[in-house]
Amino acid sequence: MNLIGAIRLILGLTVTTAVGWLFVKIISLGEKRPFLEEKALGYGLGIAILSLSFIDFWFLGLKPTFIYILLPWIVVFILLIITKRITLFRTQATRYDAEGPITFLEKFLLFGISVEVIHSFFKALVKPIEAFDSVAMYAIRAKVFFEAGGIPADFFKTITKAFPNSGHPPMIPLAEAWIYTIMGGLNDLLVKIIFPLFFVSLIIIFYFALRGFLNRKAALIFTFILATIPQLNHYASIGYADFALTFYFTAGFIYLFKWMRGKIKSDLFISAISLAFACWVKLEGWALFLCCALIFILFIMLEFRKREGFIRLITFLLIVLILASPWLFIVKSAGLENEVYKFESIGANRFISSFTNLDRLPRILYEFQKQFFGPKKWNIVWIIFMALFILNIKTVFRGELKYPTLLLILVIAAYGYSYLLIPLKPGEPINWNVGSTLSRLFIHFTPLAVYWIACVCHKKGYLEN
Amino acid sequence: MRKRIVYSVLAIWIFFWILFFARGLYKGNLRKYRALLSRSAEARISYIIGAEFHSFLKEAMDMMPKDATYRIASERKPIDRYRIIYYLYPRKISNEPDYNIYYKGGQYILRKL
Repeated sequence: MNLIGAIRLILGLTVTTAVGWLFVKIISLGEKRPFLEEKALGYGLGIAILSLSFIDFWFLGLKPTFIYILLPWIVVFILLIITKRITLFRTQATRYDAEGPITFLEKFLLFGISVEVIHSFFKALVKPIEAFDSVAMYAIRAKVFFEAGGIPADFFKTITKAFPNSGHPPMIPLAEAWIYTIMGGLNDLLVKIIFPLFFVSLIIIFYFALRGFLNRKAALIFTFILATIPQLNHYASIGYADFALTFYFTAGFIYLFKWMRGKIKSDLFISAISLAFACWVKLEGWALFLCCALIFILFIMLEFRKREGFIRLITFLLIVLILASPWLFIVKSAGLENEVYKFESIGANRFISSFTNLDRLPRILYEFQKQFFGPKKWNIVWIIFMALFILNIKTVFRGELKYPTLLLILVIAAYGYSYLLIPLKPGEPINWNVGSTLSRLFIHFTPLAVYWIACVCHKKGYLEN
Repeated sequence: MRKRIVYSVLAIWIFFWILFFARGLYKGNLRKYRALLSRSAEARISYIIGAEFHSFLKEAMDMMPKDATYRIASERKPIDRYRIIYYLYPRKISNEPDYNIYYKGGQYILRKL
């Protein structure tokens, strides 16, 4: 490991987080959040903003250098200082933690979370990029971007089609290219730092979301549960896009749910922007965004003043569509493909014919139950989830709890249904598709499942003194 | 009563966490981590993808100019194809290649056409 490269990496990641944090402060409209929560959001939004700026430069036909990418943000920062908007940078005092000394249990939980965080960094940085998708779909494209000093003009029309799934959104390879740009060279060990940083950011956002309605000990218990799920830790270190998608989807729904409860505008903006970035990470981001949108529509119909609710809904949808739809334009104009779903041939016929694929259901259900009852990957989180669901079947569909409940049901159903949509050759079984991908898809909604468990425990007073 | 159930479930969770963590280390992760930590960055790549394949890639990178084109006629396993493309880039795959890469007799062979 080159020392200069490592120093550049640390400084570059600091700058990336600072840009994201600046963005969070601007859209927060004066709303203060805890310091760590802002930094965690800052990393997630910052890495997306800076890596997707490669796309802006490609549209404009310009070369994205380190300085050019940062220049707009330097200008914004200077303007904020000149216009004396520096009060924007105040964070919320952490009144949350004025709950007395840390108990032995809390120390143990913090220790456990720290062990998992350190383990994820270690696993990510000890070996180079090696897993199939990491090499074939992301690392190759990232190398092309870095060697060309940006996205080559003919990248989407020709170059990307030499690699699998040309229709796969490009945020992860762009993020890797951004890391190479920061370091000034290729390094397929250090580039994987992106993923454990998403892990840390997710844990922090998750903790502070729970602190909105739980005491410190209870919030730490559920954060510990999330952090110690083996499959989550595994995917936080192998260079797949699934963990990044998990971060943006989790943040997207958590802030949407916060908005539903508190009506703070900036929560809605953060939710919409996170879900837009989810659409740039994987195709599944679009399905997850649609599920959130349906929940939002239901909320407006049931609980909000109609006109104002309609305006909020339109704002939410517009933010996501404006930020995410340039990718759809690129897919359409360059004729990009997805080898699994073959969306270039998707239409009403495919949706109708999916119902003739019901013979796949036994296999799909078998694989689902393998996930639910498999402690090696998930510990007992899904057993807890199902037990709480059955024991509180009426409660979970009442009040505000019905929204995360319905979202999880929608997402699980959507993912199950997606296996009916995959076109196969006659006689080809669905086994390989489901077996090799389902555990990855489960990661996307596992944090929200743990969040749901926390909400149910709170509602039922399981952790009350 | 409910609180006792919650703490019991937490205890079960911690038990499984420690069990699978320790099992993972015992079943090979610890050996792999020790092997990786004792190697340089380049040697780690060799350890991960296989020493023979790694030395073939290095040989190919030395022999082929950066603007060379090649074809992969056959590969040992699908991921090798993409590792070849990744490590050899900016050399590109072409229908009218300068070089042919194929897998035969348990090794990769590079031939200038």
